This record gives sequence, C-alpha cells and structure tokens, in this order.
Amino acid sequence: MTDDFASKLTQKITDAAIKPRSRLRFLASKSALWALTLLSGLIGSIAVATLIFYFIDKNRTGGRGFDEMPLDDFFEIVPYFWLASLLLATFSATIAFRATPRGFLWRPASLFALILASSAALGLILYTSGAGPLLNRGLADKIPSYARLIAVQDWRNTSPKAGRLVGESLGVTDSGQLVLRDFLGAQWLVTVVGAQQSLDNPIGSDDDVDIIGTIIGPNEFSAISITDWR
Amino acid sequence: MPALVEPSALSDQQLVRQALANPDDFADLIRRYEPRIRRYALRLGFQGSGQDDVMQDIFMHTWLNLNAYDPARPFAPWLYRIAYTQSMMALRKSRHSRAVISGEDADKFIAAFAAEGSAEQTRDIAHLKGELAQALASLAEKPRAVLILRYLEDNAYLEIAEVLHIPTGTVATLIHRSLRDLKLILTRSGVASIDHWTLP
Repeated sequence: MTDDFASKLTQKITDAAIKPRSRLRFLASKSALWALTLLSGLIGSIAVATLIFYFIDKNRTGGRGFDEMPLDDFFEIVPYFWLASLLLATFSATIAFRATPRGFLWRPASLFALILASSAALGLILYTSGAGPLLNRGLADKIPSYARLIAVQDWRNTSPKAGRLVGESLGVTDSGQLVLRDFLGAQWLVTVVGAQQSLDNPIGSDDDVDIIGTIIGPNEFSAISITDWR
Repeated sequence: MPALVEPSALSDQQLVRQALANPDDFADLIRRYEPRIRRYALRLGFQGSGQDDVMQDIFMHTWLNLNAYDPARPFAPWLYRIAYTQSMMALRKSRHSRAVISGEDADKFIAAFAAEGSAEQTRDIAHLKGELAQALASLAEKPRAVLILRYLEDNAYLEIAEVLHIPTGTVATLIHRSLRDLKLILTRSGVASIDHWTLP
C-alpha cells in the first residue's frame, strides 16, 4: 500500500515532468518581503521626521503648512503611506522573519510594535541630524529643476505687505539693523530690536531667515519675530 | 563506483537533496513519512478516497515546494505544516468528513495526558475511553488538530509551533483551550467526574 502510493505519485511526477518551484523564486519572494519591511521602515521614519518637523515648526511659526515647502504634496500624504506600509510591513515581516532559529518567537502584534518603534527612532534621528535640509540643499545643488521648484516656493512665501519677509541675510549695519535680500530680489533694512528670536544660531551672512512684522517705510521692515528659514 | 546506501540510513536532509537531484528518489521520502501522515489525515477525518486525495495533495505540495525547505531546520514539522494546511483546506471544502479516533488512539491520548495531568485526572479519564474517542472526534477542526499533534503524534511544543507557525507560548494557550473544549464536550455528554479538573 505504502509502496504503491509512493511509486504512483513519483511516476505521476515523472510522467508529467512536474518540477519543484525554483529556489530562486523562494529567495526572490523572501527578499521581496524583506525589502517591503525595510521600505516601510524607511517611509515610517520619513513620516515621523515630517510629523516632528510639523509640530515643532507649528510651535515656532504658528504653522506654515506644507504648501510652502518643497515636495509638499509628498510630505502631506506620507503619514497615510506610512499607515498603509505599516500594515504591509507587519504582514511581510510576519512571513519573512518571525521564524527564527529558536522557533516562531514573534507575534504579529509584537512585530507591529517593533516596526513602529524602529520607525519612530529612525525618524527622530533623521530629524535631529538635519537630514531633510541637507538633502534639500544637496538636491538643489545637483538638480536645476529642483532648485527652480524651491525658488518658486520661496518667492511665494515672500509677502512683506502681508507681514512676512523671507530672504537671505546680507549682514548687520552699525545701528544694528539687519540687511536682507528677499527671495524676490529686493533689499530691505529690518529693525530687529525687541523682536522675538527663535534661531538655532545668531544670524550670520548668507543665513536664510523668516521674519514676521510690518513695513515701516520704503524697503524698511520692523520685525516682531525671527526664525530660521526651513 | 560508490556503494549504494539504503534510504533508511539517510537523514531527511539527505533524502531531500537526493529527491531534488532525481525525482524518482522522492519516493523514499514519501515512504518514510506516508504512514505517519496517513494516520494524521485519518485522525483529522479523511477516509477512503478522500484520504487518498488529501495525501496526494500533501505530497504533491511537498514536491512543488521542496526548494523552500531549509535543511538547517527539522523536516518533519515542515512536512506536518503542509499536511496541516492542506488538510484544513480540504476539511473546509468537505462537509462529509468525520474524524476517526480509534480506541488505541484514546489509550495513547490517555497515556500522554497522564504525563501532564494529576493522578486523579488520569484515573478519571482512564474510565472514559469510549467517550473520549467520541469527544475528540467531535471537536472542532483546529482544536482537534492541535490535540492530535500534541497527544497522538507526539510533537513537542516547539514542533507544534513550527507546524502552526506560532510562538510556543501560543501553542500552550491553544492546547489549554482545546482541552477546555474537550472537557466541555465530555461534561455535556454527561461525564460528571471531570467537573473538578484543572487543565495543564
């Protein structure tokens, strides 16, 4: 009976030339699952860094919204991507690495928490290391179309009549006024005495700053608050 | 010319390697595991042509996925995993399956259970051979499969975890729940002597 079944089945396999699925196929599917998990972790960390930036920036500037930033559409939807990718990552991680040499140690809930925590940690590192501005500057230097895109968004933000002056610092006069060239190219003298300043470092030449205040004369502006631009 | 080695002298991993090199050698692997898997299928509720069909599905699936087997891990739980999933799929499709738990199985269950339960429980259950076989057969598919793996197929928790792809802690919970279901069936069928049982 036993021999009969084994021989019949093997005969059937040989006659129909049924071959086992290739090892490459299993490796590819496992690699794809790993890649999905890593991709999701990366998207998650970008989403976390974006959220941290959003809340800190809102605190500092009252909330500029993402419309004023490069790749704004991407950053606005990245948290949604993250939610979707988290589910995908949990699923792929459940299949890809819950089997360990010591057996099946990971429950989907533990994997979900692990991916969530690692995304949050990596996002925090991305934010604190200033990876965003660094990438932004790098892209602007290397890709002319990206630099133009940033320039357009920079221009959009410069509206002194509406109480906002954004541009590059050219230096400080002897009387303590800031000389600034806005992103539209106009030069301004800005009174900064008494203004609330939220700056990482004292303003130096070539620093980009974001100033809230009022026009007090031809090309003269009085600052209420000053923050770093981006 | 190298001397021929009897298949019984080869490890599972060696048989897998041989089968991948020569499909005819797959028969040796089938022969090694067919009795165990057939008995498992019977205990799950496959008889007659239904059993042949599911056996063919299991071993054909094994053949197709042989390259996915990791030789660093034991082969039996990997095969049981396939047997389990294929059987569950077939059971879901079939409405006529009826598990067959023999008196011998009931004895085996009692002996295995005795190792975990108290002496009093073992004494109680020893009198319930017939009822126990019936209760096991009428359990839902998953708890029955878990109890069969543990008490009739002699799998350790770690092996059951490999078969079901769950952590060992969850296996313990599943076994506990399955025993609770079994106890409930026995109580409902009028076996009052097990009311006071605490489960392992």
